[in-house]
Amino acid sequence: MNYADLFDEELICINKEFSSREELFEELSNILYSKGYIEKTFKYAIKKRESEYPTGLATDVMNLAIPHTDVEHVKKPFIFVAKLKKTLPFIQMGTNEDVINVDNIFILGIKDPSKQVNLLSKIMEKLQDGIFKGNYTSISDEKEMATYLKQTFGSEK
Amino acid sequence: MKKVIVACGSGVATSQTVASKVKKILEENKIKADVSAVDIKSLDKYVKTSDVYISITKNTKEFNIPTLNGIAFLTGMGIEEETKKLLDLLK
Repeated sequence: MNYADLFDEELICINKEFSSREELFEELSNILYSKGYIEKTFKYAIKKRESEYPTGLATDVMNLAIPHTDVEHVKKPFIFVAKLKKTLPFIQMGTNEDVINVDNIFILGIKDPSKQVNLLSKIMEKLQDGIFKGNYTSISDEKEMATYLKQTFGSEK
Repeated sequence: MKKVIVACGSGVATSQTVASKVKKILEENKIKADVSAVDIKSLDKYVKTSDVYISITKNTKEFNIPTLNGIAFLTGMGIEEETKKLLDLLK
């Protein structure tokens, strides 16, 4: 699949503030549902999954979270990108209690794992690339971000 | 051939990603091993027939095969250390 198709300017939110993780999942799920990307069950499933298997990731370049859940809750594949105004606490993946403050969320809507297997490695790889990181950090317009992400990931397999 | 298993919560994203990264590292180091992403619900069964377990979730119990930190392969934080351990185990 062409990864460019996963990005949509309506699935990008920049500089938005959420009072909690709960509110973030609530609002983003509502957007995804209204655009036909997910089943109604997604909202509950993603919250439950995050509490059982947390997805916060502390890296050298930024703290991010990659919430995702089982394929049956996803109608069509997507990536929801949220750059937060104020950090939210997430639990570090692989732990039950290590809290990290996250300001970048990538919700992965995975429908067919075999076709999207390289997606997460590409994201991780790009974030560690200084040029990408610089551009990603400085773009503050949703439309511009969608174009940039489509361009960047579109050529990737 | 030695067998490496990687497990995460659902097997749709993280374990697949870590498995492909580990495969790449082994290729670069010319080490042949069978690397696969497995479903955590069947982990006990897989552990019995594997040599190394790369973990991405909090372990609630001890396994009798060496266990490595899978997050390092995902984020690159501490990857040199885990790679060294992995290569030593597969030599």
